[in-house]
Amino acid sequence: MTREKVYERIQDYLDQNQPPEDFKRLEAELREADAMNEFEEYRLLDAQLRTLPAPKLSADFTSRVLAQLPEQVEHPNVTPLRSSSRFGGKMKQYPLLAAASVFMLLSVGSLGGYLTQEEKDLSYTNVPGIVAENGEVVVPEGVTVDQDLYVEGGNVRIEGKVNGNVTTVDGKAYTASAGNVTGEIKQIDQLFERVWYGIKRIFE
Amino acid sequence: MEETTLRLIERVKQGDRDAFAALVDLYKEGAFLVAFRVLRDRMEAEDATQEAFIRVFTKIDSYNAQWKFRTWLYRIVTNVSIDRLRKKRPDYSLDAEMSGTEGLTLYSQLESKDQLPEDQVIDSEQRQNVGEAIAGLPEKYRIPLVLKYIEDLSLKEISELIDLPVATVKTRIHRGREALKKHFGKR
Repeated sequence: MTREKVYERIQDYLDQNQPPEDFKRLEAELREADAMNEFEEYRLLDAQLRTLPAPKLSADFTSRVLAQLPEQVEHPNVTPLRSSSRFGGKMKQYPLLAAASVFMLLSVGSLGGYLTQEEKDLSYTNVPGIVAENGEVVVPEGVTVDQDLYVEGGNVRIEGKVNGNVTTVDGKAYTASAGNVTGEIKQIDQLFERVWYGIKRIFE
Repeated sequence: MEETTLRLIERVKQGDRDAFAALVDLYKEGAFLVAFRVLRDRMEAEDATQEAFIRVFTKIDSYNAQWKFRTWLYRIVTNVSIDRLRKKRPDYSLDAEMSGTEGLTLYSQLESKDQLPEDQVIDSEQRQNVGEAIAGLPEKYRIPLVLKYIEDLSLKEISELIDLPVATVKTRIHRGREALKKHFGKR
């Protein structure tokens, strides 16, 4: 048995009050490992730790605690049925759950607001020459847009030319023929993508 | 005792202050010892114990009878005490009672004219040295070790008191003992 193992055995013995049989076995092991001195040292230390001086508590401790108790807010003795505070009690019992549900409520609420807010409100980059009709933005034939085009809440039909990117949110981009748009066409119609696009725009 | 405790707690939940006083009387000594072992200062420990009991009173609704009341109480006491320990600035004064002793100040350490019987000297010196040696241990070893020697708290209970796995508590107690033993071995 290594020294570390011996110490481990002694300490384990000190950790819990083991039955005498265990002690006999430990003693035999320690004798064999020639570690009885170590054991005695540990035992002496253990005994000293057990008898560390402890001061007495003040005699008036209990009355001092009672004097400091907060005035009771509720008087359950007067109203034995505490139905009104039952929900509050639950909230106190599961604070994490309460916090989580409030958070869910708020986030769902704000999401809902976000969704309805965007409902079919056509907005687009205002460029001279383009036309908005029937909830649709049209770049008429012969018109050339020399900038990026952004349309939200409706489709875009490109009959003319766009020298830039076309981005639609909640709508589609129709082109009369390929090559009418020199940049990229991006169609964003999912909530996640919209949020992501919003975030990306902040950092761009 | 457990049954009495549970009955008292039920009454405290109903707002019965006499029951609370009885509960305090049953557990105050142990709770105070926990605070004292952590804080090593009698007055601080009394304040901490008081604070802990007031917390017990205001939070008694959150006490769950599945837990041992002693463990729940000691856990609160330990938390309050450790909080205070972290806030406390170490200050030394000759008048201050020395840690781990009662009625012993540094004055009494300077020079004593009247000699005590020799065996008494050895006994008190040795104990005091254990107290001092413990005070010199890092907090993370000291707290589990001193808790171990209060009312024979089990490793599992200590792990619940200080929110550490049983294995960690065990290792720290062992390291603490080993350090103390080495300290005395040097003399």
